Amino acid sequence: MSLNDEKDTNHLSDLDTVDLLFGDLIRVSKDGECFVAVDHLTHIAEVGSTEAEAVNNLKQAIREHINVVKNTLEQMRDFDRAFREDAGDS
Amino acid sequence: MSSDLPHNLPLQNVLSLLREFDYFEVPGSDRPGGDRYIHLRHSDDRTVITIPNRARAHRAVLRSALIQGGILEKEFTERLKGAISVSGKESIIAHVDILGFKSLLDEAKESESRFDELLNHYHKALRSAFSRIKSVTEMRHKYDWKRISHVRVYTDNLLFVSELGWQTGGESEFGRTIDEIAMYQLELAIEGFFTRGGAVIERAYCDEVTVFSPALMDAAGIEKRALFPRIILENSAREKLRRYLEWYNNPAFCHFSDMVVIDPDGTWFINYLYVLRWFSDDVMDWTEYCEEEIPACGPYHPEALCQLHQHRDHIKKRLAEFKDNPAIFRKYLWLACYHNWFCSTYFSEDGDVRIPDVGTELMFTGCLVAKSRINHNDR
Repeated sequence: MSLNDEKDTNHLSDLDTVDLLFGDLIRVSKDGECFVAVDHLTHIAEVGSTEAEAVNNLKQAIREHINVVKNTLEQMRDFDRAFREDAGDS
Repeated sequence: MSSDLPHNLPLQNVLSLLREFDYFEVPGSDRPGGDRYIHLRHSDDRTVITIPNRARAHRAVLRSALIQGGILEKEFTERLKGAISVSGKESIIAHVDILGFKSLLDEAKESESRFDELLNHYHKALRSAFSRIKSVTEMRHKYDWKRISHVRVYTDNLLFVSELGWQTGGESEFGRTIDEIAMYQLELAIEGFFTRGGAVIERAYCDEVTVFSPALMDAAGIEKRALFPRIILENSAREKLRRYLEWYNNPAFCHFSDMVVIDPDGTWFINYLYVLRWFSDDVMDWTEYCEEEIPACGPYHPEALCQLHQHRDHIKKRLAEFKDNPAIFRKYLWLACYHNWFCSTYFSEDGDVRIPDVGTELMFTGCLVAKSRINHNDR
């Protein structure tokens, strides 16, 4: 799966899907007083005072990250379309 | 995982440093989830970094941001030095200078043509030695991006500063720096420039513009204590090495056993000629592995032998040149003894590499051999 492909990211917006797809890729470790959760696909990290909190925070972060990547791809596609239309007009 | 990244860095510092790597914050309207996270997008492509929007960034979060953005930790740490307060770290510092450089400059004053001749010879030797060090350190740092050793050259002075890591008490950084110094020393020696100096362990700070360490105050003293053309390990460096030697029993597994040897006067110094044996063995093994034809020079690689012959010839020339100047002659006599000991120990099957008629022999010992004696003395 590539996060740079819009088709792949369309179905990743809700937390359940994130849970399903990323659950196995999350590793949690203790660092001093807090827990650190890292997703080994996107490399995003989050912290929490408990293991569960760190994982939940991370899933939220992954979800937002995917949405921003999706928005970025949409913007680029729109820009590309506008550019082609402009070029075609001239 | 070891890391030089700060434990909790203010978010504003993180954002301003990421801007230096062309990552800019995605505007609020483009962010569907509100302000809980900050997203940064690269100015040239669609790479997005996501980090929690909290006052301080945890070290793990910072590391994750760098991985997401494809930013080398080494490069980020260097930029960080300009943005936050810095601190010194235990480092190995070596100060090296070229023997007889002052007389070389005096000689250069005699005529314009002599000036250019000496300049070109020195320039070629120094550039070659420095570029070799640079390429080796760069190659090593490419695969070990957390540690950076700094090398500075000023006239005939060369300064190596390398932070010691916390893993295995900094043994790998210590060993690498010793190797780098030895390579530098060898490159200059085969061009006829012999070096002396010393290595210490001291708290230091170094970046692109600053070198800061109390050890620098005693640089001249270190060189004087070296006495002969050799790079010695001062007390602090020797103590550190002794601690590493505790971990080894078999010399075959201890790189230091050959790289640092002990003079009969008790001084520990870098056995820079060992780089030739090391090079020869590596190339010969590789040639054999590739089933290529092995050059007809016995068990040694011809280039290593050629460089050893050059080393021999430079010493012979200096011995003849300074035979009426006892103060300088004894320095080259010591060098001749070291050369002959090295040849007998590591290139014993080539009868032509020794310097004849030296009239005296010195027996050096590998530092690991001295381990039991040192331990015994400690107790």
